[in-house]
Amino acid sequence: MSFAGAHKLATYLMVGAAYLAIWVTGALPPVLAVLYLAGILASWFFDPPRTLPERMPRVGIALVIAGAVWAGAAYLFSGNLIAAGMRLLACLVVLKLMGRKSARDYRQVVLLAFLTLVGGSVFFAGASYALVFLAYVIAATWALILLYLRREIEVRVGLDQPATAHVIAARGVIGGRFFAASSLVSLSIFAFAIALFFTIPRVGVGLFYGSNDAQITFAGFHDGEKLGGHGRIRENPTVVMRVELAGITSARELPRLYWRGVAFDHYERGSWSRSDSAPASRIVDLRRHHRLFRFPLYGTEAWLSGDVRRRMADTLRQTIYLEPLGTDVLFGAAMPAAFVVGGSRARPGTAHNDEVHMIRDGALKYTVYSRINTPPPDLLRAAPTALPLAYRTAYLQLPPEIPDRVIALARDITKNATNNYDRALAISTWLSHNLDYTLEMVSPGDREPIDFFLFDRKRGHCEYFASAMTILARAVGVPARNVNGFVGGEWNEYDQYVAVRGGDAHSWVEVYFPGAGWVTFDPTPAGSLSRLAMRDNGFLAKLRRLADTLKLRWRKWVIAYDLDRQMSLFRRLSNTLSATASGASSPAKGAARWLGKHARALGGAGAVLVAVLLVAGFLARRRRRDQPRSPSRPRSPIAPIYRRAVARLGRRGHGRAKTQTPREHAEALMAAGVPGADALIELSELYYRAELGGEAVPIHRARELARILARAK
Amino acid sequence: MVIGLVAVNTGNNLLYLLLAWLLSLIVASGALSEMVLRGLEIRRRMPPTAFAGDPLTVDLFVTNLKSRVASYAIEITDLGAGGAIDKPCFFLKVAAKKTATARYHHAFCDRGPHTLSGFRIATRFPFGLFEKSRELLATTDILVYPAVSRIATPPPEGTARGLASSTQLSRRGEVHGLREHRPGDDRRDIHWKASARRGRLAVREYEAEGCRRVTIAIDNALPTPTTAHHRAALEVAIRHAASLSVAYLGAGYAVGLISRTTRIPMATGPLQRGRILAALALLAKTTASAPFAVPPLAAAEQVMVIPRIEVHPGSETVSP
Repeated sequence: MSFAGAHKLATYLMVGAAYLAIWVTGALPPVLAVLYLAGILASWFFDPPRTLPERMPRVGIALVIAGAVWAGAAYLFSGNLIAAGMRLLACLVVLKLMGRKSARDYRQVVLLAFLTLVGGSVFFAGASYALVFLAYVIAATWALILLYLRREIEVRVGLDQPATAHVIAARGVIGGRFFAASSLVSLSIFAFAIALFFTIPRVGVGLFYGSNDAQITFAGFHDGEKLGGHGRIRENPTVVMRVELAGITSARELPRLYWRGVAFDHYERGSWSRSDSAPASRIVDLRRHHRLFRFPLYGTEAWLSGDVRRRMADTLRQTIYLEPLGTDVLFGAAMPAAFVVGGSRARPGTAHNDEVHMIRDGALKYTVYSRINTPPPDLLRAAPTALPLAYRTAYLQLPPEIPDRVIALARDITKNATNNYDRALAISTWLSHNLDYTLEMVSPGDREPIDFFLFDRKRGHCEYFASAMTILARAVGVPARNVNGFVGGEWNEYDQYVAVRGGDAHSWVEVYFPGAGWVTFDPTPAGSLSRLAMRDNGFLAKLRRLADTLKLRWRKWVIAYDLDRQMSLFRRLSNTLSATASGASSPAKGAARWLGKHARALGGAGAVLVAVLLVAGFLARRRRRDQPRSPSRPRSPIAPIYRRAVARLGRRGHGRAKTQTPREHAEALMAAGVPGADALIELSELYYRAELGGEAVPIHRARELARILARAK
Repeated sequence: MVIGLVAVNTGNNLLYLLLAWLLSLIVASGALSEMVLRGLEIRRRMPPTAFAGDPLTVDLFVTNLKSRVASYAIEITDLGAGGAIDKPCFFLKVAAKKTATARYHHAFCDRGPHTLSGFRIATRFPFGLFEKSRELLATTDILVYPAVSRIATPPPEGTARGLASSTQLSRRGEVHGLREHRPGDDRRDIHWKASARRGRLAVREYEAEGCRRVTIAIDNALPTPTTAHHRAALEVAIRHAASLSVAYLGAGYAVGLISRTTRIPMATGPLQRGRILAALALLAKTTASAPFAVPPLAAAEQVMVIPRIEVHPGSETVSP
């Protein structure tokens, strides 16, 4: 391959990788992305001298103006400066590629491609960005090296010289070995960059910055709920959060978890919402082990001394990597006991119905401690029924449009129950046994949706079941609310975490028991089993889970890598090293024993190794010193005499500098009044006459001068 | 720098990743530059003598001793007493285990011995971000003869025609004596017995018959204190003496040289030309108290070249 061909190919690969970086972020609309790609591909054929400025001089200017107008319009419509800038950048990249002629043009292409990559990194990018970045690193290394060589050729030979064109068109300058070696270099650079990435201190100050993370929207989870609004709730495979559960290492150990998000107290005309008067939990902040724990206090709970231990007992720790959703609610397994959000300036706060919210930019990592075990039934049966006024108002609310037959049905279902727990259980059981689950919905028309569901349709999805149970429970005086979130998730065997997808969105009911708190009831029949129950072990499913593992690692170690994680990483490293040093771990102990046993042999081997290295270093240094010599020529016998004399002077601190001629050296010593300098002057002249003049000079005189020089002090 | 600032400001980890990549490029650049400069052997080929002001050709040979890795974009500068002596030579690629050559021309302005002390090898490979260089010691001495101009050969004051013995030496004729072998001597003139006895090569010198003889005498004494004008006048005189010597030798004269510090016995031919030019190249100033190596003869065969300093600086003339 010719040098020019190799350079062109490497540059296009780099531009292609930068294009992919934009493409995977979705920053450009599909039509524009296709146009951009078409422009890049078309520019391949604009080789000099048939470049765009030569073919159509005005088209370039028109393209720049069009790009500027396009970017300006995009900014006006979207308000996103970076996305608008990407459009202008796309135009400039295509323009420069079509007009590439010299190293200067290629350098501008490299810069524009880099800016494209930077633009891509500002947008949210998934794990695929890692692959794109790796491709970019390899291609950019090729392109940068070849660009540098091309620039050198143009500068040394002259841009318009025929010789330049000859060298650039030459084959043999760059070959397969170059690409192989530079690929290895690229990978080394990549590996070093990764190591550096983890080491650079994370001291983000966050001025003038807002994230552009694309928000995930999907059917199933809503920050607000309207029954009958759906034609069909679709299965959505998008992962909305990944949860690492402390102490759980297999799917068998995994309990059925309800990832609580939003809760609604007010029902009216088929819609659930939060009322302004609904109770909200309070938050107690407590700093433990350099981390800020935020404890929500539900209901009328009070914070007591020593509460930390009690509240943290029997909790399940979940580390949640939440994707950017269209809501600022924080999810946690019901019921959350404490939240820890590290490395963020924003702090979670509570809203009505014990929701926990935190305003954030894009994705988030946080930790939740939850009490997932339901209190014993006896305790719940014995719970008092008296409620605070706010609870009575909010959680026993029934809209006037609820028909009497719904209330009558509730009473009928619970006629044998003597306490609220049994009433709630009876309603839940009745619903799950007597009605069917379906995702195919029919509009209730003018009918009250719950009434239509209970008496006519008798089939529905989770929102109908949860709404129906809430209303039925309230009809018999049991305080309840509708909760929206996710249930279960898919266990990932590769990295031991639960991937919760959009299709896991779910509605259920929380019933309040004074003294015991809120208890979860799920009246939806088993037809809506989560992925945990319907675990797919097919090849594609395994492959999908493997891909999701990579995504989590990318999210965990790159996107969400923050000062906390960095400190934790360093602490772990430090602990590992100290453990090794102190022999705390058994492998370390074994190693220490082995070292002790072979200390003498190792010491000897070490000494030999050091000696060998020293000798090798000495030889290498000597070789390097003596390496490049001009072709030897016959030396006169006076040369060694002169050299020895100068070396002797050198030991006295009067050596000859590399830039001094013998005569200059002698004159300098004379001027400095160094004893014996006059003898050196004469010796230098003899040296010149013999070495350069080819004269037969008296050797005995030279020796005599050298002796004089040696004695002079 | 900008990426670093933006990364710190935004806390965007992908920008941190880009920053880490850019920093890695810098580190890799240093390592690769070092690799490019390692394992290179550089040799210089140039004539041992040159004339002041005349360009000479210097060949540089760069051998890449590395077994697999080629060296790219190497710049080699020849170093003299005052640093770089000329523009650097650029090698785009020196393949592994191969030798590449480059050639440059250089003219020394001043007569006398010059030392090329070594090489400076530099590269900005692989990305042109930084220059890495190192200096290698490789001393080569070159003697720069005084500039010689075409000059008419004035007849010496008196001639030596008809002398019974001539000191013009030539390759054939009666054997005049033996001397040490010098580069350029004909191998047929080597006296093998004498060489074996001495342990060094010895060659025969022959007498030429019936040649004309001339001795160039140059007075290298300058007044004290010596000014730049004095030194310039001496240089002019030396150039003149060199031109005369070359002219006489070219005309078939046997030419000798005497000064207050040097004496070159009379002889003919190209070797004698080299001896006289070398002596003139090395001729240093002295004082009037120093006697001539051999007192100038009153004989008519002598041509005296004396630097004469005019009253007005810058208009020195030399009268032979």
